[in-house]
Amino acid sequence: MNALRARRIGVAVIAAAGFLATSLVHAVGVAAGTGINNTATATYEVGGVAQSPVQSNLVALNVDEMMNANVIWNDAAPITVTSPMTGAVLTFTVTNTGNGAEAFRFIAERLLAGDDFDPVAMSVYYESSGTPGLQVGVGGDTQFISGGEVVIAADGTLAVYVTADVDVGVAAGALSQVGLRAIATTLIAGAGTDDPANPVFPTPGTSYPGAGDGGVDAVVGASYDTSALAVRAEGTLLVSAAVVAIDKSVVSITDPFGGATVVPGAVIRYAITVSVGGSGVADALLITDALPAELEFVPGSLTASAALPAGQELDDDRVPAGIDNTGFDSPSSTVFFDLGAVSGGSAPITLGFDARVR
Amino acid sequence: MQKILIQLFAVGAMALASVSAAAAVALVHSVEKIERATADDGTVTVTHVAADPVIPGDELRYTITFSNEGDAPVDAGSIVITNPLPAEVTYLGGTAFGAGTRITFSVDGVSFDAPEMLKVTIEGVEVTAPADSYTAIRWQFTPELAAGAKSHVSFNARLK
Repeated sequence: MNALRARRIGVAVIAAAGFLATSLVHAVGVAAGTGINNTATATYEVGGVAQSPVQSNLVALNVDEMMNANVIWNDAAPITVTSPMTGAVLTFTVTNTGNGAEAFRFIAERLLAGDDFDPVAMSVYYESSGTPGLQVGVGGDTQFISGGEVVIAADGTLAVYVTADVDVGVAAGALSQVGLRAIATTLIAGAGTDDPANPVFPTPGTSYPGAGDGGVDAVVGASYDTSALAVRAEGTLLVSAAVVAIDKSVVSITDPFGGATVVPGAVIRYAITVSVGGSGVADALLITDALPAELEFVPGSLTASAALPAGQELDDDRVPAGIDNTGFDSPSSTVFFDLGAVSGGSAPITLGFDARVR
Repeated sequence: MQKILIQLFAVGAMALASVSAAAAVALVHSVEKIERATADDGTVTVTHVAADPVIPGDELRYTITFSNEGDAPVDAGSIVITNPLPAEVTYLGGTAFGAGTRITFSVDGVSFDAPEMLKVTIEGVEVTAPADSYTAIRWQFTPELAAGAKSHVSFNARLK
């Protein structure tokens, strides 16, 4: 113990020298491993004569690692899913609110009580592609393998995606709670248990000698307090009878010189594919596409792969509103398609129009 | 006139001689961690424990014990102890303590004054310096410190 203490004080002095110019203070506090030195001086007189100033001994502290994390669910509203469905995505953010780098294990919680149904399968991914949102496949985000770990720097954040598969036969309106837990692997090692179904959160203040960032002690922070657990968040899935998916793409580019370069005067052909999933009906489905200032609508270019509801004309005028909602609205420079009621599972509808580069 | 000057010098020389024979004031600095536990009935229990481990947000108490190791008394009002605050801690207002001392603070490490006299400019407005802006604490021990006597001063700070 004494030897350990002596070593620690030695480390503190070296660290203090390194941090002399600028102390590394994170938003969450002084970085783990930082040395804090304190000395006092005194001046005094004896018999009216000033004596040489005296210095106290140096009190050295070495800042230990406080393990803390915060998990939040980012989606603003329940994620609408259909039954069945694969790969519904919930987005979470995990922040290392501690003062040292820490390896975290993510645990997705599928079988939560108190909701209407549970997903049949879930996967966890974390952001690594550099493109916000979940990208699956080559060059996409990394799948978190159960039991693995990901290091997050102090103050660092990581987007974590939980994908869920929904079974057949779940009624519309049913809700499912899905949880995500981030736990420092130091805690798992210290607690000696890693049972996802029966998690152990050590009492804040529990310390693990030498287990922290750079060999300092690791101390459990308040975020692991089970009465206000910050290292866990829940998201919600909501089964809807119909879910609309829209995909927009460029079909062709024709420039004034017979090539395919985007230059002023070039005409771009856009396609918007609308598919409705689920067993119900999407009512009053209105697709709008506002053109940026750089593009002008080409009159007479609206197309649709399926017949539009009665009264909807593929003309250039969206008038009068309320009867013919389809067309180009010049004041707002927006293309409108009123598809009316579309049944889930029906063939995708492809809509198209041309725009010219100004 | 000349005689008085010589006498004064003689007194001073004697004092210096006695001090160099045995160093007079010695300072011993120490730190501990303050833990506060609030019971269900609202009772707060304060305990002092070893400052290990320490993590951001911990409350620390620094104590400086000063003693007269010499054989002559140290002049009344002459002992001035100064502790510049480490950059990684924030002074906790109202915690500086020292029996028989006049306590002043500094926001620049150079000039020291009573809390209400210290000014800092926050967003262009000059205000009384908040305790967390102090960079140093100074204690002036008012009485004489007899040979062999000791006392202490202390303050609490929070680790940033």
